[in-house]
Amino acid sequence: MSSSLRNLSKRYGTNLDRFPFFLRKMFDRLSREAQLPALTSDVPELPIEKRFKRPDQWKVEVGDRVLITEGKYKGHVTKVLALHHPTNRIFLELAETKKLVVPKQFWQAGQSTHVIDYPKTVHPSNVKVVGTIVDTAADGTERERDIAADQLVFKGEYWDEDYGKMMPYRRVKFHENVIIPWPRPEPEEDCAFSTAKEAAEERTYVPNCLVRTDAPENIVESLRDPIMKRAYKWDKKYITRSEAKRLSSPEMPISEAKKAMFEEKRKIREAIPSEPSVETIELVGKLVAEKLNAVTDRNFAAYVNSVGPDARQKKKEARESARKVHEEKIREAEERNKIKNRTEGKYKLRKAKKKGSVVF
Amino acid sequence: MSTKFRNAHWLKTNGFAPQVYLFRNIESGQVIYSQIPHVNNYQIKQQFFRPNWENKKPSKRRDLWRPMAVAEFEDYQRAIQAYHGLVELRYMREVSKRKEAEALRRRNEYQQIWYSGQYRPTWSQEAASDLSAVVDEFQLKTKIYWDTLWRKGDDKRWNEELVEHVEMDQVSPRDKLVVLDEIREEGLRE
Amino acid sequence: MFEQQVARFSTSAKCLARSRKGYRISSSIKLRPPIIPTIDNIKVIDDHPLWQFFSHKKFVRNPEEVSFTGRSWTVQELRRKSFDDLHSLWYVCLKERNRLYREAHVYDQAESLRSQEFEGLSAMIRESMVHIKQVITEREAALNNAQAEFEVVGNEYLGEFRNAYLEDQNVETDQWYDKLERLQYAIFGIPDVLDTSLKVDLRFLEGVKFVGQLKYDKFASKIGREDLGGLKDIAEIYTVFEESATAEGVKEACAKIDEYRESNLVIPGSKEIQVVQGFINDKIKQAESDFEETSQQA
Repeated sequence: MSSSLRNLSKRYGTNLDRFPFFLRKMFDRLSREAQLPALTSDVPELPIEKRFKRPDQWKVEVGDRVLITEGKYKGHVTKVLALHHPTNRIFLELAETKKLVVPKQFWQAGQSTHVIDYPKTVHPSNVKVVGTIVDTAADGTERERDIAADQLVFKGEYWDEDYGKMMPYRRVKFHENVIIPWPRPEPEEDCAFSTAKEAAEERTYVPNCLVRTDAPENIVESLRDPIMKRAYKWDKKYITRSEAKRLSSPEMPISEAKKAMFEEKRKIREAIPSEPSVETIELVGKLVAEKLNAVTDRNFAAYVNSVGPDARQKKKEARESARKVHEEKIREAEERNKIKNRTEGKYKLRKAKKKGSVVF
Repeated sequence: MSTKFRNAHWLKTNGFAPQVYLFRNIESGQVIYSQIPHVNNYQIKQQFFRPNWENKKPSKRRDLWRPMAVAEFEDYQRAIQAYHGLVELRYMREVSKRKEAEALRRRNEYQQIWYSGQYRPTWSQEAASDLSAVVDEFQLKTKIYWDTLWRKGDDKRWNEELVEHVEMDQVSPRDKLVVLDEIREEGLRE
Repeated sequence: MFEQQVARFSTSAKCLARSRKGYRISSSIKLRPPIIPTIDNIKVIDDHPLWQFFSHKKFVRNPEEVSFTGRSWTVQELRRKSFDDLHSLWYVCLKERNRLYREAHVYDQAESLRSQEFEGLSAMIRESMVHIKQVITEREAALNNAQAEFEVVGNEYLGEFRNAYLEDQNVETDQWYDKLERLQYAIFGIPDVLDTSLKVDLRFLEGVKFVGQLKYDKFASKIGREDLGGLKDIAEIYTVFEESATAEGVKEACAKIDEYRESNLVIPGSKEIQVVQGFINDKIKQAESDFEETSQQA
């Protein structure tokens, strides 16, 4: 059986995910130790779910001009050669190299020695994308200028014919009107296994009937295991025991005696009245009234009256009426002031006319 | 019935054709010669000398033995002659001319008989070669039914005047014995 | 007749001395080298079914020959394809994967890492196959959902259609003919062109009744045949259904119904399916014989 068939079966294949993390790490280390140094990469491969999939994760594409910000070639502008998907890193045209000893079976055409210089990969965060903007000088001449984007934002997307997919607009952060366009990819030739675009896009099925599709009857059953006992997972009509267990809250492991005790306590709690009964209120009221009516101290009596049940309301009303009187007084004063100002003004005018214009 | 040597009279009276059957072991590639279309302990005991790790005594499991070839001769006497010849050549290869035989076998890098798993193709190739030697030695007119003509090898290794090669019907292993029976019946008819 | 024979092969010198000539191989014989099997002895026919496991009858392809630039079919693309297309694509994929597995196995046995390139393509093709399965399952699920939905809103929809048809002044237009045709097929599964594989079921019957009654209700007063007093049984309804959706057509149907009523036959509900199936079979036979006649004349 070829290895991909083995890998497809999670049950029978060696599935490293089953092992705890430290064992996985150990297996990884062992396998790396067993490999020839030439075949190992200096950066460990990432699990598939951590690998970049979208262009806005990569931030650069093959063919982009980038400014190197780290390492030996810091400050140089170079080109992206390739994306190395297993490690989320990129190959640059101008890059640091490491010496590799290559076994003869892996020699490239034209290679004459075992030792080669192999370019190291760079993380996309260690480069800045370089774009070109057109400046208009004061005298009206246009001049092209390179800019390196410190940070990028991806907003909006468009259909890119060359990539054959939706691509996000790559904008410079804080200057979002400046868009650094994606480089044009190398045109890909159709291979022997490709289908022509016209054939792929041709529509040959239109759903137009409620009674049947163009497929033979029971086609779905033929796709499934005929002797499978449980319901097919996509059209299940009931929830399984494990699902029911997951959906319902667990029962507390409480003994019968304890449950009885809780029940008893609950009954006692319910039996306790939350509000006093009418008799209680009357009795308490009577006793309090007797006590207060027997007060002889005038000051204390005044205090008792002030904290009586209607005292608050009276206080409020008194404050309201006082406020009204105060406002009325203010209004009258304003009226008076107006009249006063008017008469004073008149008097001043008359005085000025009598004296004539005075030049100081 | 294949539990002992059967003479010509017995073969004739019991309805067997003048044939020698070659069965091969699909696990190890070893070959057993038999007078009738069965394999038994008798043949294993008789035909495997001085077993070692490369040439172990095989078991008589029926699922492992598949017909490789059936050699049909003119009469019972010649069939028995050929049978003896084959067994004797086997003895020579393993005992009396062992060194000579070992020199002819294909070796791997450690100078062991070439193998893959348990399988050593040399045993069945030697059996075919022995059959051709027997035919030439006794000048027997022979018709060989091959399981697959592939095993016949180069035509130059066979005496064209004496030997006629035929291929058995291609059927599943389950029905191989039926084919052998048909060959037997055909042999009786001729 | 038979000479005396050696009973058992024996290695002892005595036996050897006693043995008769002609039964022993001379000890001076030279052992022959093993016979190496050759495939030259085997002739494979050109249309041998197992050739399907080979690409252009080649033992194995180079890894360069299976290098690919494409991607697998997406679900969105496959949703546009008919079942026949999906079916044939499935087998194209399956056969290619068989070839690739065989070749990858050959490379595996030679302990070559190149087998990975075959497996990569195979995995890509497998993705297409998974998508095909998904599209088919999805379609069936959509059909089931639509049927369940129609149980709820179907009568309302048919009522609306019926009202629109009855209220429209002029329904003898191409637009209405198309609409009727589409409705027949979409809801009741009645195709425009009948063929022998057609099985009449309750749904079909419902459609015949709906369309037949609709046409009669629309045109009965117009052609002045309200004297029939409604359609009595399935035979009458089918007569109207069969005719074209015009006043002329319904008039003809009514004439046929007059003829039919003379026989005083009434078809019970339990026989309706059988009767309609009979009508359709008769019609197909009639059409076939007509076709033969015209072709003979031509």
